[in-house]
Order: sequence, then structure tokens, then C-alpha cells
Amino acid sequence: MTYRLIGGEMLVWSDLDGAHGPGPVRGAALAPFLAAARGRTLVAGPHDSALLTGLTGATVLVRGVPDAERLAGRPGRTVLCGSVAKLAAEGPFDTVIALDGLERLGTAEHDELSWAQKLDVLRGVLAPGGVLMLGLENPLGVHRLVAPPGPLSDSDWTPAWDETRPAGPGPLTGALGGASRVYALYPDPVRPRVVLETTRDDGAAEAAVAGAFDEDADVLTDPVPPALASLRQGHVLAPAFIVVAARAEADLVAPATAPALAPGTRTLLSRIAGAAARRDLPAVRDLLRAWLDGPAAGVPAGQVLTGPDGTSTALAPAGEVAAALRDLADRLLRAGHALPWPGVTGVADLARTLAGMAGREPAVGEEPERRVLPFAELRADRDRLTRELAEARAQAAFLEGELTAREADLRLARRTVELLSGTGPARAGQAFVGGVRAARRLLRRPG
Amino acid sequence: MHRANDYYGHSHVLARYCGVAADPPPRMHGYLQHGWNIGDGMAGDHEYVAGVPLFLWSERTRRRAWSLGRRGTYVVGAPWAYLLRLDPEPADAGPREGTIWYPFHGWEGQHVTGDHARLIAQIRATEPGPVTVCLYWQEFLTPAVHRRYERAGFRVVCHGYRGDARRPGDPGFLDRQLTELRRHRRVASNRLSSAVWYGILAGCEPAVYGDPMTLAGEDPRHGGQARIRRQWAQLHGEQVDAGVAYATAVEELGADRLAPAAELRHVLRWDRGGEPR
Repeated sequence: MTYRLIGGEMLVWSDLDGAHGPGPVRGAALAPFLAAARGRTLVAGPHDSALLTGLTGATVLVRGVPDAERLAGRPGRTVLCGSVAKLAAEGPFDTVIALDGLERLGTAEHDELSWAQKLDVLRGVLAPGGVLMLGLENPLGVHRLVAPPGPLSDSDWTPAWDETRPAGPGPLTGALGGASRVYALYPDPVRPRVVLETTRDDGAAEAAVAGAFDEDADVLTDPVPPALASLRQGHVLAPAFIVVAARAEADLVAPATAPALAPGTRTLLSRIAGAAARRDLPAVRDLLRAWLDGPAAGVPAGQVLTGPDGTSTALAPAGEVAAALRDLADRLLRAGHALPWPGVTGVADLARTLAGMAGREPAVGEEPERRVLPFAELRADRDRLTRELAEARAQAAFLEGELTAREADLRLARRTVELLSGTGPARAGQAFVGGVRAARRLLRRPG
Repeated sequence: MHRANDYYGHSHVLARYCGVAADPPPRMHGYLQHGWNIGDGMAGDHEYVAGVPLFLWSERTRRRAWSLGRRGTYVVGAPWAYLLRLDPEPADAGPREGTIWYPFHGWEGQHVTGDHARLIAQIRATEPGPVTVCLYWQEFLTPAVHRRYERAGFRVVCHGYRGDARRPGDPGFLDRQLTELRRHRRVASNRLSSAVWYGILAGCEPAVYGDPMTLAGEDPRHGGQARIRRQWAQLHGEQVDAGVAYATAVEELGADRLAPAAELRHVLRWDRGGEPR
């Protein structure tokens, strides 16, 4: 046995196997935080073992015995098993990492500490010049706003309501004092694919956040538009945050998160959507023409960065132009923006209009919808179809009226023709033509 | 969709711009604004069906139309602006001379009341060069009106038949108007109207003066003449700043936001082989 039971451990519980809850925090996007650890390091809470491999000489705290067994045995690694309440005797540590937050540090075998008490324990084992890296799920995060209601998991035995928990990263850094940096996590707190400092509001950040969400997730509405909208407000809708804090600026570390800052840029998608929402059609045409005439043609517009000087950088390889146009049309339609184009009948139709705005007419085929539509889009589709049916009926009624009017015109014209053909000169003309025909027949007759 | 789309040969101009050869042009899917107005761009006496796009001349008209409850609008610019792009003024065009004057007219069945004699005197007193008076077809065919202007020493012309519910407009209407406008240095009227905007865009110096006349049963819904004089005050007077007038005409006729032919073909639904008529 190469782990140490510190008290309050749970004998059969595992956070790491993912059978009782969301599993450990994981993913390469979190690696820069562990890589930034220095000195004696404590990792508290369920972290994926892949994240811990580069961290030699660290102390790891887990609450279930199976997890301690799984993590133990690495040379130089100290594994502690039990409740965070028993941690006070350990330390001091130069770096304390709790990227999962504080919710999964207590055990069922020990009195539950409040959120603030758990934080106090971690701060208590932190050396004076040490760095704290703490995860904080956002109760207003976009992942929660778009999630359909679901059952609680086995790990939710503690009440979720805790008044000592700070409302967000602002109150938390305020309470911690000293110096801090705040990072936003997407698309969810446990499996982030993208981690960015909350000061980021550039095109590279937009592209990364938009790409972080699963296309076929079971959601009530597309999380991407609100997530992108919140970049301007310090990522207020990010699913979770990581606060990196130290007493002094000099002690603070800066994990190397990706992608790097691209100042002043926006994605082409966001520029086109903005110009379209402003009804600035000349600007939309210019953007589309520059895109389709340039080297980034065929690269999805959400993966093209455009600088303030109009230069563009492709973040992905180019594919078919028609596919990129379809993708743009789809994203503009699904975001629920007020679009300037009237009577759009679908993705392919809008894609053709967009191509036309750049003076092009590529073949854009109809393709069946591959994405599972979120509830909000199903509802919008239903409303659109209802409206279109009513409009089609109104148009049919109008056309019927038009038809009746034309029939009346036609009747009038016919009557005029009949009337004219019944007059004296007309009758004389007919008689003359008839006589000529009869004479011709007579002359042609053989013999 | 609507017969008003063929007024003044508008659909012919757009078909030419789009490279659509069919004559008559294919039916367009939508209602095309056929005259400058201070309402939602559409004629008040036509029936509009929900879900059919409204193709408007300017962004200002689009915003106003939206505020008046119109949806499904799209700014394409005036057919006149497309015509000017199709037929740019030749570099060796002869010198422009005199003024083309558009006395305000009513439509079929409307009656204008006002003092024609005083208007004629005012035109003579104001215009420095020869004057061409362009009459609405109805007035042109009314000998009394026609003669009255001729006796005043004016050349009297008519651009053609506008079109109505039964008959499409004269396809050469706007071409004739453009030829006339380009012969003149000034364009003038007693009311700010499509013809004045067209003239400005075609390079004439504008003037709007004289008794605006009243129309029997005129619909004051959108503020009428009083509002036009208030909102476009800079366009009124015997002498008008040509630079300001040109910028305003570009805006009102949407000449700064014309669609490429490929786009127009698609939004008018002329790229599905067109619906022949």
C-alpha cells in the first residue's frame, strides 16, 4: 500500500472511474496549469491521471480508496486518501491545485465542510509565497442554461446550495486578495477543450470558443451564440473558471493557454453576422468577395481571422467552397440573428444568396440536416413552417384572384374578336378568303 | 408577382442588368418599389400578400417600412440606378443645355388643382435657358394642357406610358427619360419626386420651386408635402447645392448598395430558369 489514509476516506467510492458522476477533470487544455506548478505541489480532488504524469514529486488528495490505489505507486508521488478536513496537518505547499473546485473534496464519512471552510483548509496548507489554482463552476454558465433537466448523480449527496460559495470569479479574487488571473473553461467544467484568460475577446478566442462545443450535444438551444456574446463581458457565461492567485504579482504564474492572443481580430463569421445584423449589405458583399476571391476561400468563415487592416488568416485547411458557404448560411440561420434576407427557404437557398452577393453562382446542393436540432430550433422551425403555410395560403388566394381577373380580361378580348369578326368588312374578307380557297381546290383537282 | 413590377419598364431594366434575355422578363418573386415615396415604398392602392418579399430602393425606406409593420423587405436600389450603371454617360456627350421641368401630375382619375399660368410665369422667370416640359401621358394627350405649355414657348415631351393593371409599362420609358435628362443642365419640378431624384443621379442640377399644387383627395397619411419640405429642405429652392443633392439622391435611390447581377438573379428567383410568361 503506497497511499496514506488521513481519515474520512470512502472505501468503495471512486470519482476517477466516472461511474458515479462526471469523472475526473480532464483534457489537454488543463495541462498548462499543472505544467506551471512549482516547488512542493498539492493536487486536491479528482484529476485525470494523464494530467498528473508530468508532475513528479506531487502530493495528491483523493477521497475514495479505489482512486488512491489507482494513483499510487508512482515514484516520488504521495497519495493521500480521505477528507479535505484532515489535510491541515500536511503542507506547506508552494502550489495548491484544485481544478475540479472544492465540491468533491468532502466525504460521506465526515461532517461536510462549507465551501469557505474547505477554501480555508487549502489556504492553510499554502506556503506564504505559494500559488493557488482553483476551479469554480459557474452556476450561470452556458452549459447549465442550455442543458435539459436530468437526474442527480451519486456524487450529488451534498446539498448544492452553499451561501459561502462566491458568486463568481470576481467575488472570489476579491476574497482572496493579492494578485490573480482568471481563466474561462469551455464547453463544460469537467472536460474543457478550451481554456482562455477572461480578458480575451479576439478572433482567435471566438474561433476557439465556437469550436469547443459538441455539434450533436443534447441541448435546449445552441450554446455558441450566448457564449460568444459573453466574451465581451469577461466571459460571464463561461461554464467554469480557474482562478490562479498569489499574494503578490511576482509570485503569480501564467499558464501558457492556447490559442495565443490575436489582437484586434474577429472571425470572418462574426464580421459577416455583424454587418448582416446592421443591414450593411455593401459591407456584407465586400467581406464575402474578399473571402471567396482570396486564399481563405473554402475555409469555414468561423475559422478565418480577419485583422483590422482586412488581412485574413486561415485557422483550418480549405475545403469545398460550396461546403463553406453552406456552413456560413447554417450558422447565420441557427444563431437566430435578425437577418436581412427575405423569404429564405433554407441553408442552400441562403448559401446561394451569399455566393451571389460576391458575384458568384456555384452549385450548392440541398443536403439533409445532419445535426440533431436543439429544442429552440425545433420550435423556431415549427413557427416558421406555420407562418409559411399561412403565407402560402394567402398567396394562393391572391393568385386565384389574379387568375379570375385575367380570365375576365380574356373573355372580354374573345368577345371583342367575335364582335369584330361579325362585322360587314370582316364578313366580306372571310367570304373572299373562302372563295380563293375553293378556287384553289378546284384548280388542283386532277383531270 | 405584381403587375406594378412592369411599370416604367422596371422589370426590363433589371432583366437587362441580370443578363436575362426573356421578353417579357420573367415574373419576379416579390414586389418592386416603383416610385419614390415617403411611406413604406409601396403604392397605397395595391394589394400586398404576406411572405412575398418587398424590394425597396433605400435603407431609409427599409427602416421606415419596418416601423410601419412591413417585414420581408430587401434593399436592392432603384431600377434607375441600375440603368445608369448599364448606360454610363459617354465621355464625348454633347454639352448640356437648359432645364427639363416636370410639372406635378396626378395619376389616372386624380385631379390637380392649381394655377398653371402662375407656374408657367415662374418657370420663365427662373430658368435661364431653354425649357423642356415633360408631361404625364394623360396630360400629354390632353390638347388643352399640351398647348398651354407649348404656347409658353416650351418644348413639350412625354417619356411614354407608365403601365397599369392591364398593360405593362413602356419598356423604353426610362431610356427615353435618361436621354432627355442628359441633354439638360437642370432638372426642376414643383414637387420633390422620382423624376427629380433621377435627374440628380443623371448629373442635372436640381431645383424644386413653385406652387406644389394640390391633388383632390390627396392622402396625407405620411405627412404629405409639408413633411417633404421639412425633411428634404436642402433640395428645395431655385438653386440647390449640387453636392448635397447628389449625395442625398444616391441614398434615396440606393445607388450605393446595388446588388451584383448574380445576387439579384437569385433574390428575384430568376435563376431557376425564370417563370416564363
